[in-house]
Amino acid sequence: MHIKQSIINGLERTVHPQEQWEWPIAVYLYMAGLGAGAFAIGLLTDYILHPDIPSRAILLWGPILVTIGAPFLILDLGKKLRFINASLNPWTSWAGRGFLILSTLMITGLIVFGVNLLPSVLPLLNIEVPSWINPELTIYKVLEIIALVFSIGTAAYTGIFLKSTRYVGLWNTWFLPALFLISALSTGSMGIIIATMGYGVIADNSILRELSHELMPVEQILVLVEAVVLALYIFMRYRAQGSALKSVRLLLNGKYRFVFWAGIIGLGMLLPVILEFIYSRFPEYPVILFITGASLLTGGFFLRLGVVKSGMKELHPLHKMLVLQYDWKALDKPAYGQEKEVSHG
Amino acid sequence: MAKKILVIDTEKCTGCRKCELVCAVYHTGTTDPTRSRIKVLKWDHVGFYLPLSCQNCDHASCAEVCPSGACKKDAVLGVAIINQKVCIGCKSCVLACPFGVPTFDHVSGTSVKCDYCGGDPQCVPACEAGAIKYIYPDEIGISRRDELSRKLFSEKFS
Repeated sequence: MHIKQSIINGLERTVHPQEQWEWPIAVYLYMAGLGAGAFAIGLLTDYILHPDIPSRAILLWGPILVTIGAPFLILDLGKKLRFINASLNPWTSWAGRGFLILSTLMITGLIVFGVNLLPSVLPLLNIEVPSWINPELTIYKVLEIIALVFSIGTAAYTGIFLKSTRYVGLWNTWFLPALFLISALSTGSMGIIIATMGYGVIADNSILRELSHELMPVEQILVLVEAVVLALYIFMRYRAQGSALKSVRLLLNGKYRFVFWAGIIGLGMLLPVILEFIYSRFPEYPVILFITGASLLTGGFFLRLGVVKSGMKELHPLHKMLVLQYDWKALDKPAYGQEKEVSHG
Repeated sequence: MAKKILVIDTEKCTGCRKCELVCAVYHTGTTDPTRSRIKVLKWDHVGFYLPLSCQNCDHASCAEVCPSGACKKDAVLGVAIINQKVCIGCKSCVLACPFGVPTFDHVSGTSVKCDYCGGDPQCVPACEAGAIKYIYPDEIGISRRDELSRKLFSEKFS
């Protein structure tokens, strides 16, 4: 088996992770997910709890992050000025569909955020609020619903975008959109918790501080679900063999093990759970909650970064055939050191 | 009617990489083989060389994932061609192709791929070993049978 193994190892050229999509894509996916998740959680919080807060804009800032993140996709393009061309083929391309989904969320979400923010900002500038800037108008309520649907779509799309490449084993599973959707909601809920607590502390508003405490169980459940989906995702990709298996090895004990264990698991899941437990004992120190939020949000970024960077393309079909061919030939040969002695006499 | 395709005979390829050079000169005007549309994978220790060019897929993944619509199947040649004036350089096609044919050209900032040189692939006459052929799909079997019979004939009467 020595010969066989040496030949096979030789044929298995070192397969490197993909280098086409780098960190700007991870930032784009992270900001889109975080912003969309924050908007969805913020709007649902408003619909379900009806909190008596100074402005609904505290809950609806998510589209700003989506808008900040979108240029990172453009940053990764070879021809940046042609970015508008990305919308020309939404029929078969998920990148094209994503352009339209994110654009819709940005436009509708920013309008909803604006009409909720301006009535509390304009009076401070001694400007009269026009009658059409009223979040209670039907048109804005319709836009809210559209933005809510597209925010959920954006959160799931970030995973579908990677999945659509098909020949990168780590990405080619429906667990990835599910994982990114759950992660978007968990980071988004933490974003809303930080925003409400931050504004509550600055403005000394107890209602906002209470609201952040009410949202914490939701965020804890989402992190738990995220951990389960992540475990399932890693397990299923490990079993998928091929490049998916190599990518998982790269994440678990290879080049990106620090990103996985320290970033995704440590900062994204374990530390927030520990800090939230400590905060539940010492609620008079909101700084613990802010550190928790920073840790969880950083972990969310590392999740995207780890998944993007460790993606690896499948072997070329002819390359696979070649390995198989030499595998068969090697089986016919005697192992090294066990060849029959050849008489020279 | 079926379109002509590039057929690679890996048993004939010597790994000289002349096809890469000719391709780079034809498409970019430079002798930089990294900008070539055809790539030769080499396993020197087992003597196996694999020139990679477009496999002319019926459902071309590169065209499906292209967000700008720059990569489309050409009706005349039957091969997917990337319009360099529309391509945004997102590299989706590079990741989507199972054969690794489209590559990202760092000089032009766009993705590039084998376009059969508009119906006259330059790598075919450049390949002295005759490992690359531009033929109709149904000629593949005929040409192999023809070569086999020639070989047997020459062995018998030489």
